[in-house]
Amino acid sequence: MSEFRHLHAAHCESGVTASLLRHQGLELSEPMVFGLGSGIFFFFPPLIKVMGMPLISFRSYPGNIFKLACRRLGVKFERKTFRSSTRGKAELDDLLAREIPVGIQTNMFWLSYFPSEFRSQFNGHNLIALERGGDDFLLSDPMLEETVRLDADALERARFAKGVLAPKGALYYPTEVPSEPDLVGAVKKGVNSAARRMLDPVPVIGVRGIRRMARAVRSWKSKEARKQKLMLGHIIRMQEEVGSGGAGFRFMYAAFLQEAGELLGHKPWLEASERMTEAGDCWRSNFAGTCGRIIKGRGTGDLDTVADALVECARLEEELYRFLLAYAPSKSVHSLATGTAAAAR
Amino acid sequence: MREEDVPQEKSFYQGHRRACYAVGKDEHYVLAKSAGWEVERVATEQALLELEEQVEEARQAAKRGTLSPLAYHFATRQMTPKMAAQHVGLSTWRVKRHMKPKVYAQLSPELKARYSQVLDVGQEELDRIPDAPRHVFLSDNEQAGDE
Repeated sequence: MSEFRHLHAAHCESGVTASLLRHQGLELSEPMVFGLGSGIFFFFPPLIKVMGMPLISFRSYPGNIFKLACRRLGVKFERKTFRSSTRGKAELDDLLAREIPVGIQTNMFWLSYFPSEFRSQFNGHNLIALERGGDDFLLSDPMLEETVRLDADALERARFAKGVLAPKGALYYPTEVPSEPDLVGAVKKGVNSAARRMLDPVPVIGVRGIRRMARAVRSWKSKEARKQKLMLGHIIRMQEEVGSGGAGFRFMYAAFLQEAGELLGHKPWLEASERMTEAGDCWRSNFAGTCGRIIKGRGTGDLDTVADALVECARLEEELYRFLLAYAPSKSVHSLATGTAAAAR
Repeated sequence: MREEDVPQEKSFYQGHRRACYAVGKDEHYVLAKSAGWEVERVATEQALLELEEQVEEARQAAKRGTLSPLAYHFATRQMTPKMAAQHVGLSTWRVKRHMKPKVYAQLSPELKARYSQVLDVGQEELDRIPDAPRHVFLSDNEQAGDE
């Protein structure tokens, strides 16, 4: 088996997936994996609270990027969860003894190599286990610039933590990678399903979810100022802090659209990439920037300014997804692009 | 976001740099490294101060004797009683009862051992509550360099 190369990535799951596939000889960028797995998303459901704050997600359900990217590429994989921690530990030790790098799902609070400011009871953090030492493990965490060691007790706590999204010792790894995967077909499926889902009529999902959040922000006027700031800060943290590559994954998706457009020679996707960058800039400057000033008590923004920024983000994104569906590449692009891809190889 | 606009501001990253995507000189996306963004730092700090306040409230309540030391340890582990209950394998109702000093005083050594295991707090330290307030999540060197 070839030497494992650590990958510093923007997001844990797409980074882990790209890293594991590359180790198996399938070289794909992180944005490509993110796009193939239809990682872009927005979810703002009512009632569900995490540590007293509303659940907000800019990406799809943990585990889905890996699963969908593999399925669309025709990569076979194994994914297991465990009821008993003893069996879960044994299985990981066994795989590592066979020199198989393994993706694992963990709780961030127990990962002591992170600064304490970032350790929270979040159960959806992914990383790769590389090697078992005496009392510790060698890990490749895409959030870090290099590999890291963590003691076995901490890793066990992280893998078998309970609560929302409990990892249950989840581990996963590709078992069989096709020598000539249909990358073009996979990319088309990835784009199509992401755009459709972002335009889903369910009011808590996609662009309708963003608009719902804008309405919620306006309704916070009745809350005391301290609470308002906490809630705005919470959205920023979900957007920026959890490792999204900037603007809640919007920049990573723009990078994907650009790469995919060039791969297929499909110009509309290059335009879509620019539009996505614009939406990302709206999320960062118009929305998060204004929130930041409100929290610090500077500037002139208020909840309405913030909500207007969200409505603008939703508008930019809606137009972009409709554009993606309207200008989907035709069937002939498929054969043409695979021809050039084969020639390039 | 352009590559040259990728923020390199004060953060809690402690020297780590975060990967993010930005448009480079030739209009192609590149993976850039960010040392931190002020907006994100402000949001993080605010959220952590809120958590520190919850820890401090629990610490004072434990000192006063209105809550058991468990309430303090839950707060330092960012665990709600429900989450703690799932870890220990008891009902939330029982865990909440154990947060009462009188009930806690009569806890069996076995149950205390389970709490100590789950919370990663030594058995002798389980009853010990710090006398002075202190930050659990915010490292104080960051505090010193602040404002």
